[in-house]
Amino acid sequence: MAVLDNAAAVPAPRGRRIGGRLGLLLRSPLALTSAIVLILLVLVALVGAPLVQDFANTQNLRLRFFPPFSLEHGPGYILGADALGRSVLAQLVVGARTSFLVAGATVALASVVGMSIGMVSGYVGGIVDAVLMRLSDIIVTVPSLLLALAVLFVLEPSVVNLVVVLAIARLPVYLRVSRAQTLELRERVFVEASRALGARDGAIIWRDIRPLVVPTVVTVAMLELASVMLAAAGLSFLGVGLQRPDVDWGTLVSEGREYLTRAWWTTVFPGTAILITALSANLLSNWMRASADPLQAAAMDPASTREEAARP
Amino acid sequence: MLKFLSVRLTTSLVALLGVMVIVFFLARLTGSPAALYLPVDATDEMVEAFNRQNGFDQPLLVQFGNFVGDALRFDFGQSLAQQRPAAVAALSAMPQTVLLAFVAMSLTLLVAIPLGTFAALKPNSPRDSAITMFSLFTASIPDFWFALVCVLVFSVNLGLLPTSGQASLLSWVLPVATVMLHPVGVITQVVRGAMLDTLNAGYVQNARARGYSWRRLAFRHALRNAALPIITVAGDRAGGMVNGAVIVSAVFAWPGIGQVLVDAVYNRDFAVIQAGVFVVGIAIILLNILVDLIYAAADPRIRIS
Amino acid sequence: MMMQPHAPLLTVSGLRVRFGATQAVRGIDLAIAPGESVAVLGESGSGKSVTGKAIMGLIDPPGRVEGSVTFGAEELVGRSETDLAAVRGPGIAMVFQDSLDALNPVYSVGDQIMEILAVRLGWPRRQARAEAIRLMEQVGIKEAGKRLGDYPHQFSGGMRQRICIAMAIALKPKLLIADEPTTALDVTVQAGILKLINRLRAETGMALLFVTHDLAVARQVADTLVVMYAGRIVERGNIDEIFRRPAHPYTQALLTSNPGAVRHWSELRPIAGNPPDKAARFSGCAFAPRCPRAEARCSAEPPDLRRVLPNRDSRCHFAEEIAHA
Repeated sequence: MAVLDNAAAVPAPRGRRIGGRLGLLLRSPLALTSAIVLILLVLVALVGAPLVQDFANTQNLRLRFFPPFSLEHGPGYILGADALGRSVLAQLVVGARTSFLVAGATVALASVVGMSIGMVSGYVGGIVDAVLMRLSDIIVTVPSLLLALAVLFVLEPSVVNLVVVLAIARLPVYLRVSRAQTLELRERVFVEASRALGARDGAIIWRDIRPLVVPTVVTVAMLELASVMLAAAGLSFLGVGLQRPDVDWGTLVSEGREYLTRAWWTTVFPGTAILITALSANLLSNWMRASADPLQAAAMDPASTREEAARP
Repeated sequence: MLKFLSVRLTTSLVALLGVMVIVFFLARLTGSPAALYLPVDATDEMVEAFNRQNGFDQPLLVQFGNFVGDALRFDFGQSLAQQRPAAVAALSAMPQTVLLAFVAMSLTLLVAIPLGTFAALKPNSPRDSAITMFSLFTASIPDFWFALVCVLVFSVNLGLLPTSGQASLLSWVLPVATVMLHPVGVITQVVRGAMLDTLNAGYVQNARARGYSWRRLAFRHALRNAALPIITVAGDRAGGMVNGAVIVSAVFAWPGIGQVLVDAVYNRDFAVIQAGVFVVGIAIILLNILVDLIYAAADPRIRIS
Repeated sequence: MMMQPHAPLLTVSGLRVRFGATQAVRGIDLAIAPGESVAVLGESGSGKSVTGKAIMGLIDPPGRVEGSVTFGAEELVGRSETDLAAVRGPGIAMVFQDSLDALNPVYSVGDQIMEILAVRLGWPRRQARAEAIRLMEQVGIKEAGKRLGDYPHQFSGGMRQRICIAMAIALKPKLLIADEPTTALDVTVQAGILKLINRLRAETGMALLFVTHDLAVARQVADTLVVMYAGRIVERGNIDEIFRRPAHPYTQALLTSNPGAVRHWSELRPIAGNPPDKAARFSGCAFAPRCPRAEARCSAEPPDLRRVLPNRDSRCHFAEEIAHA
């Protein structure tokens, strides 16, 4: 065996497999499929929606309740048509954009605001912390749907209102998570060091604490995407979320409800779209959480571990 | 233990106050609260009279004081549609919803605890993956859509279950299933997580070293400890079942606070919405106190300190 | 089953334990005779605790155990939980490092002790209760009758460890594995626990496998010393003789870095460097990077564990020179 310079220990070489988490993702079929599905859906929503916008609004009374799975009137009506003869597929695409926009904006708003308040609350402590935590308690006391229902009833449905209300309802979880982590980080040496060097509180929070809290918040945000999407759809279904001309998947389900027995596709397809999106987001978040834990990651990738262990 | 409870009581009172503030401001979010309470065709004089009568022209603080006083007396004004006090409309609907939530949560725990335990006993095994998949799947289904699809399949096409109302035992099946849908997946995962933690805890390894069967380890040693975080989450989700109740009322015309609220939205009956939010808020606060009591009773480290 | 007078109680052969890419134990051979007391000594990461757990069958996937562990006439590696459960308790018992973690917080200590007797021996409640009190008194808990209904968090660390020991000896095991039972305790409390263990050994004649990182502690309880480094045994023999005349640079370094082992504080020498990476492969001796005696040969040629003195094994090319220095 070769004589080595400074160490008798040989770290195991990586070989030609793609290492790291990207490699792990590529080797996990379920998570990979979910990621691909999500990317495709987002692309369709962003790129496709403007393209089919007009088509989606085209009413054609001759095609009322045209059933799906037939190419008789062209690929645009492959998923059938609704009560006014509009293409279900086109409406799904337009609805996708709204749904993603609402979910994305809500999560972004809630996570940024929640994280900021949580970090300040955890770092400053004392009465500020007590007050902010009470705020979180209050939001949690009223069930989110109820709260949103009541507020949107008063404020009239619109995309902005929906996003703001949902974001407020979902603040507490970001608040709690970032506060908990900030409390822990506050006692760490590198923070003490910054303080000893005379840095102001705000600077410490921004430079030292924020970079470590962000990954945790991102993980939570990913999990939240699916929940927010479902909540928004529920509110639209009840008639307080969005109303025409804004349309998301929830409003589509609501509209289709009237014709449930006559034209099941107007209800089933929008709901399936929500299901696929939420499921992909949940599968992906679940994989992200599991892969962050080294023991679980090893369990997920037995081939790679065996290969490394088999080396002399 | 007493200290623990008194802390919880103060937090609850603060939360209640906060809820009242929210409800108070609900009406005043728009420029003219009168528009919310009065029918659409109200004349300007009626609006003015209404404002004077209900003190909407007074300073905000005075208004809030009046509001709190009224709220504590459960006076939220008259329900437009029902011609009776809004608070009565809301309160009388609560027992139905509480019953629904109770049944649904009991069934949820009955399903989630064994499933979560079996998943935790062999982590990362095919059966664990299957159970996790099931949990993620149920958490991804929109509950309102699930309800509609079930109606389509089971009521309309197969004629097995009634579409609405509370007539028979069968008519409970779909509403309970709808309300259970999300909690069952979430709580299964929570049980799994809590059991994984406790199964790996020192005292379980120690008990294992004493030669106990896996059944004893899981159910007498691990579960008894895992029950603590499970109780917390179950209590939290039980409160959230009000959300499910609203959906269930919308789809199945199921009686309860959900029905009251859905009707109130449809009828533009704001007084009832306010009353409903307040009543539910109080119910959740009481639920939290109950959960805390159960938790304290179950954990000797809190009971005896 | 008839046991020959000098037949070993426990035999470990070629024990390997790995977790994914990490090799915790890289091939261990060990034998414990009935009534013998063996101390397994090493830094954290040496594989000493894992060895104890592997013997008890407590290593779970993704950990993998290879090799052989024979207790009496029975092979333990690869057996089902049900089969192992029969051996645990009356055969081999274990005491863990963290006594608070080792006791179930929601049941009283009395319940937990009585459970052993009721479940494993089928004793009725009254009989189990009496024995539980007797056991608690045997390990030095005063007013045992009153304290039966107390919960683990109501006891001090030392008392809790005594309770854990009581639970371990309840079924009169032939071998007790103690995994750093005193590490988390105060020095004065530590002395009490060690005294207790020695007394119990004298009373019951049970064998002891004591895992520790503390030389002084090892000396107080054991006859035989096994020194582990990077998942392998590097020295083994009678503990007093090793203290007088170590035959491995690592053991030497341990002796001169331990306040309890040197005669004057000026003789204290810390061990240079860091413990090795557990996922690494070694092309030579694992200790070479930190060894003051290392030569080129050490990084190229891994030494074998061989007999260098009567009743002394060492894994070093220069063992004899070190021993006779």
